[in-house]
Amino acid sequence: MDINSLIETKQYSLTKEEKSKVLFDHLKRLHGYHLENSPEYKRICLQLFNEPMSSLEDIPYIPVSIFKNHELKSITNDEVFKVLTSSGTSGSTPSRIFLDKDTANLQTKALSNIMQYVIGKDRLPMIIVDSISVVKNRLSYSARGAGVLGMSIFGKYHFYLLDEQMNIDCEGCERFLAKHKNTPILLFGFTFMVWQYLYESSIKADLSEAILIHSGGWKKMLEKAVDNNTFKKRLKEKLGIQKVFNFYGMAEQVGSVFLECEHGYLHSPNFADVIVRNPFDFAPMGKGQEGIIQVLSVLAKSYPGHSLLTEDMGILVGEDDCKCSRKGKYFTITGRMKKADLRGCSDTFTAPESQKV
Amino acid sequence: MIIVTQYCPERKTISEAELISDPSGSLAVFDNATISFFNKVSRLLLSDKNYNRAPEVAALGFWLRSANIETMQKENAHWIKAKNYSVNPLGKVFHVAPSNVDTIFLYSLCISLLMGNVNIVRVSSSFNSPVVDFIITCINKALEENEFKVLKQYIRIITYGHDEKINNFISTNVNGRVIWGGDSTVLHFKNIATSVYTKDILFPNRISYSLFKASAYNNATTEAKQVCAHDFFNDGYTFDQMGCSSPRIIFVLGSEDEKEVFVKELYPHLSAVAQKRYYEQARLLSSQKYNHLIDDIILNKVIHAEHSNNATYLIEMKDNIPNVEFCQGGYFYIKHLNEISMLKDMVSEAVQTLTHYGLEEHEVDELNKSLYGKRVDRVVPVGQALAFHYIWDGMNLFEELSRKRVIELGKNI
Repeated sequence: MDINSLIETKQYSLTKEEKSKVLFDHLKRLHGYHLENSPEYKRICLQLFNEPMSSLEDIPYIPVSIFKNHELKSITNDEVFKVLTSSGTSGSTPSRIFLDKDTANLQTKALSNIMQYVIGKDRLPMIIVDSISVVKNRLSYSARGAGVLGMSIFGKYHFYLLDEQMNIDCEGCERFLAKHKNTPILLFGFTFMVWQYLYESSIKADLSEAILIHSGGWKKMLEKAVDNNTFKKRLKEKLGIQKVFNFYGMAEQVGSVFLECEHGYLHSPNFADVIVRNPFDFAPMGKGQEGIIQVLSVLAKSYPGHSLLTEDMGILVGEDDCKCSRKGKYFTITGRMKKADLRGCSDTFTAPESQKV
Repeated sequence: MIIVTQYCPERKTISEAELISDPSGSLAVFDNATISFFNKVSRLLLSDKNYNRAPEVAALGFWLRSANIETMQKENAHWIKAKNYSVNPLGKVFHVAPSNVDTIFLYSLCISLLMGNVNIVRVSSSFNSPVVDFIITCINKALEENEFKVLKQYIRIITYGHDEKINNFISTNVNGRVIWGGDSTVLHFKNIATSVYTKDILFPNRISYSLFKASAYNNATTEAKQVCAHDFFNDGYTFDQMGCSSPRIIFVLGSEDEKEVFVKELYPHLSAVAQKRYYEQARLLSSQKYNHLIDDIILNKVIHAEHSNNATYLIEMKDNIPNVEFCQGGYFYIKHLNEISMLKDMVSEAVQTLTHYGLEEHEVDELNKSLYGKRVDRVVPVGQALAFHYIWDGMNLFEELSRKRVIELGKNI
């Protein structure tokens, strides 16, 4: 199966046997391509992964944070079509991901195939739970801007719920809903934005026809002790939203997203996969055990990002047998890796924040 | 008005007047009461089954025994009992303890008290260490005994947040300051104006190395290799490899082949100990260490990386002197050495401790001579990196925490 048909066929259709072979072939080829075209990738593989590869688990993986400290690409400077940056964890250096036209196209195609699975082929009237200012500067997108732009192609008549001062445009929202009565509406936003501006705000609306898609991690939500179930329950109670889909994805593998099913599990599409690894020795772990999430994707051609070790923890729930009938691995994310408390002699007395210049 | 939290002699809050109050009597240098007091503390530390297995508590307990203190007394008798001068306390000493090396504050306090000083010890307010809490409980318990009550006036262990007013107040009211905690703490306190008479004993950041004679390790019995791995583990992992004395680079003395065998031999033994005793921490640190390895590889610095799990990384580097800033939680650099004399060009001012394994006496001697004029402060066997010595960072702390009064008699008239 070539890459286009792998992306364009109905998603979540390949069984374990079919998928492991197809994915392995593609990823092995990508691995070979990056070996030849990215000297940094080659150095890593030669040093750390010299055994012959016989399965997906043998594909070398590089840490996702590598794109923060190094410019990794497998294309010439002339071929760079777009540079994605992600802010990553607050305050840290952003990742820089170099895309050529092909890769960018593949990403868009892949994303739309996944989204079609829950929103259908037609573009829907769309409410974006964010401010238009996040997409205004087209030269450098923040992760939020890139996410909003990426998703906006699945909607029409886009309405940004927040004005540039981050105030909720209640009247605009009412007008929009009145205009698009009795038709499905696409609702998109980052998880914490959705919570803050749809649930915690005073907004009143009937969104029972809406399909909410949200992403961006649960860190801020867990601080408020809001898990996925609570999130869904509260939004249903307050605004009548019935269909809520979270997805797991990252700027380092745009397009390759893991979308939640009706049963609350994240699913691997045909062209991507996850492996859960033991933090102690990176050995692959079976079902039910919490470990580090490694993500694999056939989309990453212009940069060696086809196999990334994330800093997220998760649990593999099963493969091919989810009650939602999607094939492939399904899993949950349990949070960011905890940071160790280090001992050592220094730093008794660093100046308090306020004193730093 | 300054108020601080006091842990010792009693847990309560105290005011500035109490903080710097003077004792009513005086305490002799190596006073018998002080010696038996620390012996009592030692017994309390070592008799608690919950804590006496922690290596740092056990080490502290043994160090405080009167037998050990008397040995130190003898070793220092030549100058303490000198005829032409008398040894006196500095007076009031302010100790700023490092936030994470749990036991240092007590070594610091002990030496100072043995010299007859009055002590104010600040432990970090971010301290959340059960070990520190336990040590303080033992001290307070010992102080309640009648014969030691007099010492209460000499020991004040306190804590407060980042409060410049209190730092200034104490700094300007003491005769000496012992500042642990590395560069930033040292610089911070150096910038506080004290009396010109105040003596500062400063402990900036240091780093440490290890030197293995490859043939000695390679030819050792399996049991001996395991013992060595244990010792090296204690040195390297106890403070997440970030103690001043924790080894960061392992220099391997021998031929190229011997070095290769050594790395392959050391790895499984060391990582087996680490898997047992450092499992959870290794899991938490895995991505930090792996990321760093990837950085090292991308920058084309790595000759060979030995790491089949995340508890132990042995990374042979091309750089002559690798930057060891990152080395933490079991990330050791390997450097090959053809001969002992090569080491002298690889040790900067920052190097404090060099642990060694498999060296014969004449080789230790050769090493010592080749380091003449270099600022390496300790050359000790593997396993002894963290063993506290009253000569620390090149200073005899008994001497530093006292002063000598020259006494000369006049002619008989």
